Amino acid sequence: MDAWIAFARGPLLKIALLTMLLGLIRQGLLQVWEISWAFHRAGDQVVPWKLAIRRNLEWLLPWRYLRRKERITYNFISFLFHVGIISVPVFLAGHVAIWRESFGIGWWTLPPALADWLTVMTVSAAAALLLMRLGHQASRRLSQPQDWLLPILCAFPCVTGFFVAHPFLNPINAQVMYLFHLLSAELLLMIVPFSKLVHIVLFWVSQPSTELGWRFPPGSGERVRATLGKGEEGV
Amino acid sequence: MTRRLGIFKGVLWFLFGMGAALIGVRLLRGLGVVTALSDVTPWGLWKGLNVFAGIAIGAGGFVLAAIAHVFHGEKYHPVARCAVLIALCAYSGAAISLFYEIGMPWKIWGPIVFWNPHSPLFEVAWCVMLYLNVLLIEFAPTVLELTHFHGLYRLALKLQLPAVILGIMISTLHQSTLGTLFLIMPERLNALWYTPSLPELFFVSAIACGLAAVIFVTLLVDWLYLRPHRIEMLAGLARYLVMVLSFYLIFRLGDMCRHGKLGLIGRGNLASWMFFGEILASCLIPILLFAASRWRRQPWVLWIGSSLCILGIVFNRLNASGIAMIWATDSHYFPAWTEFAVSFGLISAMVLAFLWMHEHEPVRSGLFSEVQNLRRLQIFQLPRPGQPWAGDLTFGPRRTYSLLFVLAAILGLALTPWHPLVRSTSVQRARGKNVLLLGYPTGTVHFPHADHIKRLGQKACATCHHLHRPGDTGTPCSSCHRDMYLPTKIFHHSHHIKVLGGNSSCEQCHPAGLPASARSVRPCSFCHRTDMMTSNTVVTKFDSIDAPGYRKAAHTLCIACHRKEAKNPKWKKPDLFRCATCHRTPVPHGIEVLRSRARPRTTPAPPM
Repeated sequence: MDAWIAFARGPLLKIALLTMLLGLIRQGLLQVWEISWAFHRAGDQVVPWKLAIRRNLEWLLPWRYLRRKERITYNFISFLFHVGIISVPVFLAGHVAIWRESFGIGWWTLPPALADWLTVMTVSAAAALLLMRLGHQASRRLSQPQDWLLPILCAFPCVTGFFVAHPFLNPINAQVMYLFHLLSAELLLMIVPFSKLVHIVLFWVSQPSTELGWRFPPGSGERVRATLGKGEEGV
Repeated sequence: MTRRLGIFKGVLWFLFGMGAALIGVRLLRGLGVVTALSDVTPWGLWKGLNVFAGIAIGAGGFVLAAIAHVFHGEKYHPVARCAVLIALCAYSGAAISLFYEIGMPWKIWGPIVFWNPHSPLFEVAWCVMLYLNVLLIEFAPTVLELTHFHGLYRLALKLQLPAVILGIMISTLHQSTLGTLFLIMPERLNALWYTPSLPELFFVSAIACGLAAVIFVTLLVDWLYLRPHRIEMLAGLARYLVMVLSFYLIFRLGDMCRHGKLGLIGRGNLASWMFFGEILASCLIPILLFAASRWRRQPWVLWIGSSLCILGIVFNRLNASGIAMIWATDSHYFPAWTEFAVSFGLISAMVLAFLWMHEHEPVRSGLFSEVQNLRRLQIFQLPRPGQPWAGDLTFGPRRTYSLLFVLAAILGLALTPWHPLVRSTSVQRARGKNVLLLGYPTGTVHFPHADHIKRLGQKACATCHHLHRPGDTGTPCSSCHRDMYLPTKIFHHSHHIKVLGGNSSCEQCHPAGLPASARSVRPCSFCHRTDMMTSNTVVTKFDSIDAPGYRKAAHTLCIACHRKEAKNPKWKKPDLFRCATCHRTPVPHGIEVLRSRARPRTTPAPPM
């Protein structure tokens, strides 16, 4: 068991972080490239830069999101989920201790009791989000397989982490639970660049592209095709 | 994009990704991490394959330029441009390879400023540098045609013919100088490869290798892009190849005959077999295959003959620049897997660059005009209109290649040891009656145990034996300091959980409310009060996770005490702290020494 944990803490963590880092760099470059090419081919080449940047910053804060009229509960629970899933891993005392021991840097930490309640809140919010997705016909139709899988994958490190922090409540061997915590967190890191989770870093690319996308005149693709005489081929 | 081209490029991108990552590691962490080279064998696979063989393969550039533009072989114009492109890629590869394989890459500009006209390497450096520029001038119109710099384009067209002539001159110089390099170290080269005519042999074989490379690459490109093979032209080149190879074979065997070395071929040892294989692949088989004019018009014959010829001459360069030297110096060197990965990664990158330029070159440009009309490939593929495209994960070629590149880079970085390889040397338990022998046979350490007991008194065990296993009173040093040089783990976490009662036991060592880490944990002495000798004055610092390496532990312990006692006038031993007090190589008479069965292993240093 010690060897497995050493593997998960050493080489596997390195692989997970490398996968996330290099994968995100690749994804970012590809997205920027694609935006620039779509822009290059667009009919209307006036880019409202100021608006795009302002919207990007606005979406970073939850106010605009929470002010929406439709599906208020869903939006609010989603907000709670994001608060928990960001604050607990970053500000947990145990995680900051690892940073401090490995790199000598540290920061303010959450009180343990608050961290526990935030974890419980995050896991229940993930479950609620899944149930509400299941209950809403439109979003059920729009959902891809990863939409069902990602909340579960996000909640798994929270559940295992909770039991690692509270060995008294832990139903199985503490070290096995610790290994599960490591593995699930590493899996999450590894799938970041290859799933919708990419938004945790690359929102600044996908958000402006959405803003720019609104600006392209409708049906421009068909017009380009007709001009080139390409028929049904891709442009 | 054809399917075979897609697969071919995919493999190349994968290899390139791994090579790029490992080159990054080499530049950050030094040669020791990624190569098996040593001071005895400073030239390895990279030098042989990427520099010597790469430059030989690039020789096609000047050979075809000479055939097409100096000797007016008009029908070879199309391949001449291809050959210049091959040369450009091969020489760039050699230059890049040189950059990361010399010990101090930041000093690669040295030969430009500090001139040493007596050094063959000086000539090689200058010729390769100049020839790379000549190649760029030869190729410039092709690129400038795409731009709006019409004046520059016309100038480049005018410069093209002088550049071709200059290129032939410089190539002749440096291809032979690569052979000259080995003339300055006859004692390092095996007799089968060493000859005073090495420069001439290198030059002739480079011409052959260049021709074969042009045939091979033309075949490969036509196959990849689904074009018909240009058999007539290639057969003509194969005819030239037969002439050059025959001359090379006669020259080489004649030279060996002159020096009375022909007998060495029949020795039957590994060197002679390698020589035989080299001659067979590089000369005999291609000559036989290409000799008949009907045979050399078969595509498969061209494939086999040209690839064997290239392999044979590449093998010759490897032999001359590395393998033959290893024998002569009797050193042990086999390239590490990372060396192979870097070599093939660089070759892949150059092939990709070649294919990219091949796909993007315009139809006509100056001397190299009237070439094949390439089917322009669609490079930028956008999704269909109406389909969401930002951040989607459709797999176009660009996405596939970049994914393969990134995955290979991750694999390369994860598998490379980040630290130089460290020898893990297990510690032998001290043996002997009143003299302990440690570390035999690399050197013995004399430690008169009984004498120390007598001097320090029976109660002073704790001076050295500072930590005991439960129930033990004199645990030997080697049970915790298990490795000679590396720290070893002494804390068994799983065992403690099992003994102390499972999940409810965490708080016995990790105080509640604090994050459970090695820093916040209670010290071992919290429970093991009786097992830890508190009276110890030397071992003041105790790390409850790692025991330092044996050497460090013993030095810290012994030298501190010896330094103090050397000043003590009572013993009259002022040299007590010097190395030779304990390190004495001859084994004292009458002491039985047990040979260690444990061989030194090579393992990476443990992380963190």
